[in-house]
Amino acid sequence: MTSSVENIEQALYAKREKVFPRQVHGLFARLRLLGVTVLMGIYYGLPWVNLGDRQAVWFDLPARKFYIFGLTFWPQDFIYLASLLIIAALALFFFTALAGRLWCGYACPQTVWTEVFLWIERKVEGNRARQMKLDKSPWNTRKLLIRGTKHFIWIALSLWTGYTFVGYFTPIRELGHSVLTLSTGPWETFWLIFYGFATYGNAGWLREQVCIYMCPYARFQSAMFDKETLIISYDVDRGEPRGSRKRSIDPKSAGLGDCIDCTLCVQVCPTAIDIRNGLQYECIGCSACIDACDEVMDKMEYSRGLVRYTTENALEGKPTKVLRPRVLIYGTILIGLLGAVGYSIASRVPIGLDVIRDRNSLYREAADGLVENVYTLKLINMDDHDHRYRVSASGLKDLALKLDHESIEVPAGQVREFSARLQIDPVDLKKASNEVFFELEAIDNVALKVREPARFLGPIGSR
Amino acid sequence: MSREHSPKRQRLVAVSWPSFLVSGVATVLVFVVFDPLPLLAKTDLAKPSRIGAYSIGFFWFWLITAASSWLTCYFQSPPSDLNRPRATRE
Repeated sequence: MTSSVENIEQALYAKREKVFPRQVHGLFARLRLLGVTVLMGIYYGLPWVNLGDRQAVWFDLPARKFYIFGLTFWPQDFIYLASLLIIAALALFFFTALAGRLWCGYACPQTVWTEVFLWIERKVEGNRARQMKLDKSPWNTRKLLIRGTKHFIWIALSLWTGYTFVGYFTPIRELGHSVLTLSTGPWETFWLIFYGFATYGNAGWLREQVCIYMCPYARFQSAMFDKETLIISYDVDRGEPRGSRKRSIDPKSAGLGDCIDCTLCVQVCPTAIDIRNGLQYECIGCSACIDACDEVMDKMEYSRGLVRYTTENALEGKPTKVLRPRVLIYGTILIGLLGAVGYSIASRVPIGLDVIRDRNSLYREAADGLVENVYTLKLINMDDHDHRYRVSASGLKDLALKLDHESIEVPAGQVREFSARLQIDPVDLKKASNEVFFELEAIDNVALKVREPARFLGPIGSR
Repeated sequence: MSREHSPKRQRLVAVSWPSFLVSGVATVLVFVVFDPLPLLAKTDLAKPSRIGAYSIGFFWFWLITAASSWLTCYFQSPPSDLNRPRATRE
């Protein structure tokens, strides 16, 4: 008992061996390269795209507005952010149930930046063997120079990453100017350095440890697997017994399986696991081992796929069906939600109207014996253009609306408050509290229209 | 530089990392609903810019959530660790 606990403790606190993943070539490596290029291109390029006279994607936190191309989102649009998060979570369920950790292997920023940092490391230090040799060699001028160059490029890229990150919140061209003149604000400076430091630390130093120890998703992802999930697996029946052999030898006659025990699958693994030991939680599903093994199988003139994407059922020789109800249901809900959010954004009316009743008095009597209620109307123009609006009221017979101005002009992205009075002859009031509606309509565009309910209070049981 | 994972260092990460994640979420949720400027205007506190208020809010949440994480860690260790029987007087 005690010794097993000690063993676990030792495993938990084991010294981390630095992993030197070997470079791979093949289908999945090309897919990941595509993913890295596209995602990095979007991340670093997007803030530089302008639309009209402003940055196309700009999260203007100080003004509490998010600009995403032609759309402007306000805190009132939080529902879209919430839906986006729900869609993201559902997409994660869908893709995990379908083919395991696709997100981790191809799209996670941790993977993507690590891939870039590994590429730099390879350019500076050479291939895996040279990197390991350099790591073991004592510190001298050459090592210092090579390591220094690597860290210099890493830090430069990290700072550029931090700069780009802040560029989503402060217009990036203006930010560039203030960086060059060393006049960035305190928080801009802080976040630039903080994000840069996080990139450098995560992609340069921590790497697979982020996935193994820090990632919440990695902890539970295998709970979403079932026997029909496509996971990267080693075909034990085909591979074992493993062993080295000459290419000319027929493995069957030598009593060997197809695995030549070259350990390339272990060398390419960014988390340094042996896929031949079965599914392990460290596996981020990057498919590097598939590429490596396929290359070896080609050289040996064996068929590919000793390590491949396959399901647990298929490995056990049972019939397998990847498009099963679970995947179809996730997919249907996902498409339905995407459609609903897309429709809702497309048909979103960029006006906000808040009606606030005057809290000081329930009602008051105006001239001619009319009952009057006073309201403050808060009009938000969430559109990119200035508009002039007309206000009307309805809900009660002979309800009269008194405004200080005939119409009200609200510049793009601004909020205006104004007071409105509703008057009615108490004879027309049936109840003490009545529902009325304020309607707001843009004069230049009748499609821009909202209707907001309010309460109208009068004397109880009047006449 | 040692890459040893000492229990102390692990505990530090176990406290600071989850609280970092949660305070990030909390910051977004809270500031979507509440605009810090009108709230601060009614207090005697300093009046930073919105970005400043968001940042301070984030670190404030981090402090609170880290305190909670730390307490969890603290209560996890068995009471006998801290309450060793006193050595009898010779």
